[in-house]
Amino acid sequence: MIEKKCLCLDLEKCTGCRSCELACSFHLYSHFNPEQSAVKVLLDEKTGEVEFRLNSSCDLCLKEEEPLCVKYCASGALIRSDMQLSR
Amino acid sequence: MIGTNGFSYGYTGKSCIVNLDNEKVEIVATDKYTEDFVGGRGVGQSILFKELSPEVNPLDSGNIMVFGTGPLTGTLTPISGRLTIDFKNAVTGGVGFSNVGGYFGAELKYAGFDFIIVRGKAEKPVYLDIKEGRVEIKDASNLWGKTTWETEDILRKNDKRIQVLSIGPAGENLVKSACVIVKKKHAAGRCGVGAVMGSKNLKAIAVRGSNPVKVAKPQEFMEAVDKCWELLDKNESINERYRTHGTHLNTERANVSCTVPYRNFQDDHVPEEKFTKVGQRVFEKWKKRDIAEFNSPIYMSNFYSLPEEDIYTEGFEQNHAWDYIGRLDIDDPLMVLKTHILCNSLGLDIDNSSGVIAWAIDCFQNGLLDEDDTDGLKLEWGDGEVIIELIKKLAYREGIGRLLARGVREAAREIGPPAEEYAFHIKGQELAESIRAAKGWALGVVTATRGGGHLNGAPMTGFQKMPRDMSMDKFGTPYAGDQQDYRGKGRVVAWFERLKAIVDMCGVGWHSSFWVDYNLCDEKNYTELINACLGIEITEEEFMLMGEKLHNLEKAFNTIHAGFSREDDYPPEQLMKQEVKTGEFRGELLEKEKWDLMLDEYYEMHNWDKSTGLQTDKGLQQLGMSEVAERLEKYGKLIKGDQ
Repeated sequence: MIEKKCLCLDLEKCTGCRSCELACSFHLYSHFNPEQSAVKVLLDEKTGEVEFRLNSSCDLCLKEEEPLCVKYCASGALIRSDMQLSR
Repeated sequence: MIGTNGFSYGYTGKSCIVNLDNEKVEIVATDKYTEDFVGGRGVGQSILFKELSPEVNPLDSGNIMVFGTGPLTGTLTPISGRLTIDFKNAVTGGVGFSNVGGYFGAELKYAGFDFIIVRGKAEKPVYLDIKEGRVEIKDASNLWGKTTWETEDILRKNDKRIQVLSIGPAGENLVKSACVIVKKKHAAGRCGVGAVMGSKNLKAIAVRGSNPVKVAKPQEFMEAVDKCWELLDKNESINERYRTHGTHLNTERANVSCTVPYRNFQDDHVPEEKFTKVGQRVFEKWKKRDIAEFNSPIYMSNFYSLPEEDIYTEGFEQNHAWDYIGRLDIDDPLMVLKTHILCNSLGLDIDNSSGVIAWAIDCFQNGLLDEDDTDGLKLEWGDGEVIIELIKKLAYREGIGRLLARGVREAAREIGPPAEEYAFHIKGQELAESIRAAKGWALGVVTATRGGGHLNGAPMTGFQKMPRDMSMDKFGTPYAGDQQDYRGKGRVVAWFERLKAIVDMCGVGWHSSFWVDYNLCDEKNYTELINACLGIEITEEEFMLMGEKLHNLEKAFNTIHAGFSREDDYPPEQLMKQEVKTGEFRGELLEKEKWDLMLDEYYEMHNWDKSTGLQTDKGLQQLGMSEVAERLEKYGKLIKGDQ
C-alpha cells in the first residue's frame, strides 16, 4: 500500500488570517507574496464563508519537518495527515 | 541615520505622490523619505513636519495625507497587515495619525508601493486605483454618497482580492468624527481622518498586486519571526481570552479595574448586572467563525450571523463596548450590533461619535438641550432607536447632526459654558477612556500626541499588576504595576511611547507587543526583525531612540501647529473633581498636585521644560534634531539654557 501525505483542512476553523499564503510563498520563493502561494484563502466579508484553494505547486514542503502552511496555521484549520488517499 | 538599504529588501522601493489639484501622479524612490525613520508613522510624520506650514487648515486642500506601510508589512511577522495614515488633525489642529488593520497595508506593498502621498483637492469625487505598480486617478461620481460597504462591494466586484479603504457619507460631509474603513469593520479612526479624505474629494483607494516583499537575511528573519510567533501562539493567558471569546471579554475585566466609562463619565464602572444582557457570552450564540487580523496567530475577532435579523458582520471590539455599551448605556445586544454596523458603513469613528452623542444626551438630561434642538427626539441613556437616529443625523449633518458634526469641544462652545462641563475631551478630541482609577494609563492617554487615546504611551502594566522587580528592570521604577500610584509613571509612559513608535514604524500590530502582555514581543524582538529584514545592524537602544525622535517630532508639530503646551497635558477638570462612584476603585479621582509631579517626571524623561512643557534646545541637540530646534526657535517655542 502506498501512503500519500496530504493536507487536511477544517474550513470551519479557518480565521482568514492568510498566514498560510505567506508561509507557502516563502517556502517556494524565499520571499512573501500571496499571489505565488500554492494555497489561497478568500474570506467573504458578507457571509463569513471561507473559500480555500490549493494548486499544483504545493509539494507539501517535503524538505521541512512539516508543511509551512500547517506550521503557521494557528487555528489548526490546516493539518497534515498521513493518509492513504489524498483529498 | 538608518533606513536605506538600496531597496532590495523590506521596502518595495517605490512611493507615489498624487496631486489631486492637477491630477498628476509621480512615482518616486522611497529612500527619499527613510533617512531618519525606518518607515510607517515615522516617515508620514516627517513628511508632514517638513512640508506643512501652520497656516494650513486641516480641511483645506493644502493638507497632506500619507498612506504608509513599514518594512515588516506584508511579511510573516505576526500581525503584518497594518497601514498608517498621517495628516494634520482635523479635530485638534495638531498631529494626526491613524492606524488600521485588515489586508490593505500588505496589499499596498504587493501592489508595488511603500507610501502614497496625497496632496491637493480633486475637482470632482475620485478614487485611486493602484495595481501592479500603476496608479490611476479615477472618477468616483458613482461611489459618492455610497456607504463604505457599498463602495467596497463595487470596487471589488470583479476581483475579491482587491483591497479597499474608503470613506462613507460621514467623511463626504466633513463630519469631525468621520473615519476610514477597511474590510468593512476595520477603522482608521480618530483625528477626523475621514473628513480630511472627504475634503480632498477622495472617496476610496483600491489596491491589488503581485509584487513580492523580500528580506535581506531570510534565515535570520525567519528565526526572528519564529520567536515572535511562539510568544503569541503559545501565550495561554492571551489566547484563552482572545481566541475563546474576543476582545469584548476584556470589557468585564476592565470594569473590575474601573476603566469602563458609564453615561458620559458619570462613573468609570458599569453596573455588573449589565453584562448578563450585553456581556461577551450573550453574543456567542451568533458567532459563526473566529476571525483573525492579517497574519495574526491570535484571532481576536468573531463573525456574527443573524439571518432572522439580516445581520452578517464581523463583530465589534472592546472599544465599541466602552463607547456604546458603557458611555451610551445600551443594553440591547441587537442594538449594540446595529450601532456597530451603522458606524462602520456610514464611516463614523465609534469613539468620537459616541463621545459627542453622550455629550448631547447629558445636555438633554440636564436641560441644556431640548426637543426643539433635537428635531423632536427625546434623548435618554440607552435608547438604541434614538441613538441610531442620532448616528444617522451626525453622518448626514441633518438637524442636530449639524451641531454634533463639529465635535464635542466645538459643539459645547456653541451651546455655552454649562454645556462645556459635559464635554470630555483632550486637546479638543473626544476622550474615550476612563482614566481616574489608573494613573499611568491616565498620563499616557492625556499626553498622547494626537489628542487623547491609549495608542501612544498609555501603559497597561497597572491592570496587569506587573511585579515590582520586573518593573524595576524594565523601567527603572518599581511602580509600573501599581495602578493607583502616581510614582514612576512618567518613566513608564515615556518608555511605551518609544515602543509604540517603533512598532508603528515597523508596520505591524500593537497587539503583538509587550504592551498587551509582558510575555509578548519587546523592543529586542522588533530590532531583530528589522535588522534581518533590512540587512542593517542597529541596537535595540538605537531603535528605541528612533522612537524617542519620532515622539519629539510629533511634539514639535503640536507646538507649532496647535500651540499646545503644559496646560494641554491635563485631564478634563471634572475628572479632577468628581470621584469614581462604584466598583473596586470607588472614590478615585485625579489629584491636581500629584498629576503635576507625574507630569514633571514625564517631561524630565523627555528632556522637556517642566514649567512650559515645551522642548529644549539641549534635549533636541542630544537627539541630533537641530532642524526641529531651529523650526521651534523660529516660532519662539524653543527653551534654551539649562533646565
